[in-house]
Amino acid sequence: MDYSFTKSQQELREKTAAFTAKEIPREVAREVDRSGKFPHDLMKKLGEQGFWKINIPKKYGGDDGTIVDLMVFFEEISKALPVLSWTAGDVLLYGNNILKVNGNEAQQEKYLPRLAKGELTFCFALTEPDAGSDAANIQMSAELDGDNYVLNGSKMFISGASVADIAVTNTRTGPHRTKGVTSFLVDTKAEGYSATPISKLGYKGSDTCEVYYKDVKVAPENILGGPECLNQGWHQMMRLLNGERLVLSACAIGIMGTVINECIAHVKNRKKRLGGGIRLQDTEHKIAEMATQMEAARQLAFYAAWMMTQGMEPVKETSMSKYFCADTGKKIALMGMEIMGAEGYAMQSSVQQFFRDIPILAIGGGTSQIQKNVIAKTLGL
Amino acid sequence: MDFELNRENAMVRSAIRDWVTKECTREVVGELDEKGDFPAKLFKKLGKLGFSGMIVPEAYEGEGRNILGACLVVEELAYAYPALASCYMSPTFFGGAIISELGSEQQKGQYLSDIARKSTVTSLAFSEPDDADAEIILTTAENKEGGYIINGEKAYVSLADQAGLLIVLARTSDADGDDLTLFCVDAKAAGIAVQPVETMGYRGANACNISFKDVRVTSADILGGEEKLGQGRQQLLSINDMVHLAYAASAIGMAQGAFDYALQHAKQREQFGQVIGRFPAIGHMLSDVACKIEAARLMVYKAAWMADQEKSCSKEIYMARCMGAEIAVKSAMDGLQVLGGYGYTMEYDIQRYVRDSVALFSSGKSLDSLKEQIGASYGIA
Repeated sequence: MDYSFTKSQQELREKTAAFTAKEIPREVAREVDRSGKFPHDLMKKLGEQGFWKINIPKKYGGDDGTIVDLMVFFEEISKALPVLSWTAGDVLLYGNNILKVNGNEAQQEKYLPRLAKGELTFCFALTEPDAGSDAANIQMSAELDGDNYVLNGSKMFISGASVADIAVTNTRTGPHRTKGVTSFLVDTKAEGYSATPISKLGYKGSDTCEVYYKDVKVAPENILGGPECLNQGWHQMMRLLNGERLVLSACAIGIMGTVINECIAHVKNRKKRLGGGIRLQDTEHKIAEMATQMEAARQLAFYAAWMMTQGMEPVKETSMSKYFCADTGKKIALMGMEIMGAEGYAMQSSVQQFFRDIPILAIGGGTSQIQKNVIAKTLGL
Repeated sequence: MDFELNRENAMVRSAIRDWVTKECTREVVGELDEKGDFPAKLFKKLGKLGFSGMIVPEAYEGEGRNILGACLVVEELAYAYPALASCYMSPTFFGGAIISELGSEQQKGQYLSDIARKSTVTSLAFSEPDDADAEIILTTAENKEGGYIINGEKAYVSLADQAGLLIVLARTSDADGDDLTLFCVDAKAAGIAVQPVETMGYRGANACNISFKDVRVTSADILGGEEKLGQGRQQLLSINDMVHLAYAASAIGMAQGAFDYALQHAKQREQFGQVIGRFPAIGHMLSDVACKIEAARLMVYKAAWMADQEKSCSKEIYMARCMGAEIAVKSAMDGLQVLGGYGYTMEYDIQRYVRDSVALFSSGKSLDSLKEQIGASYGIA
């Protein structure tokens, strides 16, 4: 047994924490939340400091990191500005990781070096107006017309869709619910592609969009993995889920960390004001509970991540992690709102911002209910 | 025993419900929430219904003492528009109920008719910066030249920017023993500066910071008259009863509003070939919320009935207030989960219930301090 992080993981954590300390003081985080604008500046700076190389293979100029490295990065970023972890996901997860896991060599060669340099962002287009939890109910059509596929339909809640260069788009290419799905690398500059951002409760700046495809032409070589991967889209996606669940877990853990720290500072301040070595057992116990639950969430997440690095397929554990981290995060954020009181309710407080951010983590990437479906299934039910 | 509303209150509920259905449509409320301005027009219209004098004696053009009726109005308003419920609570509970019970004859004559007829916005200036629970009062009222001079800072004061009357808690150094005193202060008096604070929810019923700089009042402005000097702490006990009963009523209205909204979605949204409400994961979540709303509502009505009977009911009010806050937040948070990605967008109303309901954690007092009061009623605090 070994619970420690490697030296390079520790360095990555320090480097990421130094980045957020310098570049994302509270005013910057508040402004991104207020304006709801995609944080292009911060994304550029992340790229310049080499963060996009974390999970790119060495031969394409990357650091060849594992899921643990990714989680360390996402946790630290989420502590300062949760939405920046999502926009970073448009490079690290939906760019780098998708290509690494499912791309063919030509696609990897074409995109990975440019992703490493911060020249590209991707987005992942799966959800549709009528295919939410029932993700396999994909309606978007892709029909072969001459040399090209022609895509028609709409996608919903696609983060980064109006700023991305490539939209990884899952389409219906056969009648079978899962064996009739094909994933395309769609150039967002193609004619017929349009994306409209949606205003949301939190994670503002994520550029989450409704996306329309009207006769968008895509060449067969832009099927993810190449033409031979026709109708393999669902299977390809399954290979991404463990990583996605753990990255989302790390996002929740980062949020919990900041909420707890804010509460501790608040209570210390209150004790100082009240003076005389006062004990505030009610509040102190709440914080003790929050810290314990966060620790449990963290262990579950990194245990599942360790399993992944050992080449196991921890479907049960990643689902448990995603569900537990998101729901625990919601609980902790809510307790944080209670502890912070009126102070936490003001827009200048990061706690209300993180409280508005966190609920989507129990919805996106498979709701907590869907995770529980998966867990039950792995338990033989 | 009789669980039916009497004829008068059945009419009150039906009248306010009709009014809310007609005036507080989701378009109107959504737009007001987005702007965040005080809903002046709606508040004026509401005033014309004549419900502001519900807890003002008939001698002052009020309805006498119909606390349950006033709670019904709060509940129905909060169902559709919690910030407007807050606007109504201000003259009715913070003004009418408090002045009727604790005011001097002169204060009753000065304020009550206006409250009943013109809905004078009344704000309770108790909390101070970093001290939402008003644990240590630093604002001073210095006895000078036959009057008092108030200096200090107040914070988190709901609707102070719209107020005609402020009830201000200040330290009076020359009083014997307990040295806190409540003053009725003209909100437009020289030396008062009000600054609204942007908050996550309750937009339109702004929380404000107030600074008092050499604000002059007379000893006749002490709530209840000169002889109540130094009795602020005692008076706060009965004030808190009225304040928290109003918040409890608001809580059950919000809870029901969020529940109905989520229920409607659960009945319409189909996934996996059926409406999602039919999945126990969703249906039972809603049933659980419905049970707790029912319990909380009965607690609120019972407490209000006791108050109308002039029975001692602090314990019952605080219990209803804690239960109400818990279920309002749960109803909103679970509702958001039921609506999934759609619930997270600003286009759907459930996000507003999430933002508004959380204020109940800190409105007036923290839940912990309310639990302390409940404990006190059992002799354990």
